[in-house]
Amino acid sequence: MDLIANIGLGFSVAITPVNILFCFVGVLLGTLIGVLPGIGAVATMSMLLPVTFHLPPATSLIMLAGIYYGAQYGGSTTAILVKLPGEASSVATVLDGYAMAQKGRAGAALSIAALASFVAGTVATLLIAVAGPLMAQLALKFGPAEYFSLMVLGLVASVILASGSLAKAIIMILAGAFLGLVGPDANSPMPRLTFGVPALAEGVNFVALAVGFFGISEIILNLEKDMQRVAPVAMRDLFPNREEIRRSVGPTLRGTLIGSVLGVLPGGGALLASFGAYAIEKKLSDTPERFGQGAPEGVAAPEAANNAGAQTSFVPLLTLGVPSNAIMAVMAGAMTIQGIAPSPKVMVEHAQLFWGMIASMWVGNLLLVVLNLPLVGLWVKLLQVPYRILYPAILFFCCIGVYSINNSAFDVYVAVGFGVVGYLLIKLGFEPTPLLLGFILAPMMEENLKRAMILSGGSLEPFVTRPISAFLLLATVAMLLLMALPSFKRTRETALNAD
Amino acid sequence: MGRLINSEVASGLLVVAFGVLGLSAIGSLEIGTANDMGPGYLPRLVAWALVLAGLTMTGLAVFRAHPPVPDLHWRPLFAISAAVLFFGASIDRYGMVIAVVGMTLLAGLASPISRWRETPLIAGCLAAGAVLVFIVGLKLAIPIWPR
Repeated sequence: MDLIANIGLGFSVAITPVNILFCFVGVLLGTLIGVLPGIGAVATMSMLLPVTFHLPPATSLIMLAGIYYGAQYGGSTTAILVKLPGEASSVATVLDGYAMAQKGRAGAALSIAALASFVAGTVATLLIAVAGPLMAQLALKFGPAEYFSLMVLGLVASVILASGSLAKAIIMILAGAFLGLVGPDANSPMPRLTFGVPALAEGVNFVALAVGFFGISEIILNLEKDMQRVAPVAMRDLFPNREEIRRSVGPTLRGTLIGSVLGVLPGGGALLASFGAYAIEKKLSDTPERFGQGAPEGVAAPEAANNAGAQTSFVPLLTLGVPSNAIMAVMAGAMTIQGIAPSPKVMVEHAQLFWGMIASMWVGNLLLVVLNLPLVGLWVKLLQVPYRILYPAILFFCCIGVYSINNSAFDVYVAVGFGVVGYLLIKLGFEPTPLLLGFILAPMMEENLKRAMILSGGSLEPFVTRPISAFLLLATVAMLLLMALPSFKRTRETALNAD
Repeated sequence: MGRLINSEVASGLLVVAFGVLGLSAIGSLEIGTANDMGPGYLPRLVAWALVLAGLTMTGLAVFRAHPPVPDLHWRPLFAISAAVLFFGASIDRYGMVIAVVGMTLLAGLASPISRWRETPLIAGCLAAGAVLVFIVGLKLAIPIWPR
């Protein structure tokens, strides 16, 4: 059977010593930044892009992916122990995880989180292996019109997830799109929008943009706040009791399913998945009043969902070549650095890379359980490193990361500029995530739009007459209508601004 | 007057400024037609959308109550920017050690949480680590000392 042969191929790539080592490095780094507040996966992955240039393609993607799902694990550790969601996707875990910890069940909460994530990771890995080839089949039917419509859907979906005002999220997409269009234009020899700066001829550097907006501006913001340390809760035993296990099984499986589905959707990923799963468990429960008071269901469901969602969000990138969120935009950047254009051909032409990465996710999840359960004390100690010692180091990684892509001081200046602009924008309530997605998608959208328009002789008709494209646009319109509903607006605000 | 400029008005004006900056970058790039788009077609569309969105935002916000413009904290903003700029400006000519030490010292000015006795220590450790990992280990083509 193909499936088994493919997974076998995957493991033959993932279990080489080098790849296990870098998978380990990735999940270790991911856990680290997940635990440490004030630095996120997007910034870390961007900073490390230049380093990955020296690695083989599969190895570098395995490491970067490890950072992403490792950060989900680390984020949940701090969410449970100190009520600090290290990553946005752990916000839902805080509610019941911290409540459990206060009741003396911190160890149990951590175990449930780790085991639910592991189960979810295993199932999601299998799902990707099954769904990937199907998606690739579908991708064969995609022409420029379909691609364009899919990306429109992705951009609109990402708006829903941005916290804060919808209008501001849309503006950030536009701003990102404009920056993405700087530099080369497919059909004419002259670089455009560069103000005559030769260093911009190849476009705005992605790493400089991401590090500026997510690294430098974040440091400035953290320094103006009082970064307070919260004393972690003491842990007694690590193992959940029978009752807690019984209560966690159903939510884990449902969370996995919800996470897997929401992860594949454009604009999806870990964040949407964790909130969705938490809300559904609360709805299904006979005793919804226990939620927020330390219900194991409220830890298992979002943790399973965010891990499953984190993994299945790779599907659109690997099968259609379209990144669906900011993290995947960074992954797309990493593939481009390695000379692999994200496209439906990846699965066929780089089968080893594709299946190796999928298998490595399972390996990585296993490593994470080992890293997180016995070593949790170590991570808690790390939390006590004061920010005044941490931030110069983070700033250094920002600098060296940006500089070493092209050994270009200009890129460093660009990062400073984006850092300052990013600081202003965040202060004014703009969220930077949609900007990154707009930046990555705009050049792809322009290319597909141009092609579609040439094919149709300047008519917009194919976008609505071709069935897949019409469906995608319809979904986009439905989503816009949904966003306009007052009740949806309220739910979204409470979900995303939950403390 | 202070009442008129609230955070939403400021946001709107900032967006208009982005749009105008964008339009000035486009200059006279060819627009082309819908079935043969020139390099200026989409950028112009996006830049005008920014200008219009910014104007709408400003217009709607002027007559409504919104939170005031948030206070900017100039100290971390300047110190962190200066630190990174110093790194960029010095690394090619003066090498990793000076760039990292200078960067750390400048960054130490960003916040009262830094301690003046600790900062040189952090700078030294970072510089040593940077040389070991990035120049000895990863063999990046960056000089260690001034050349």
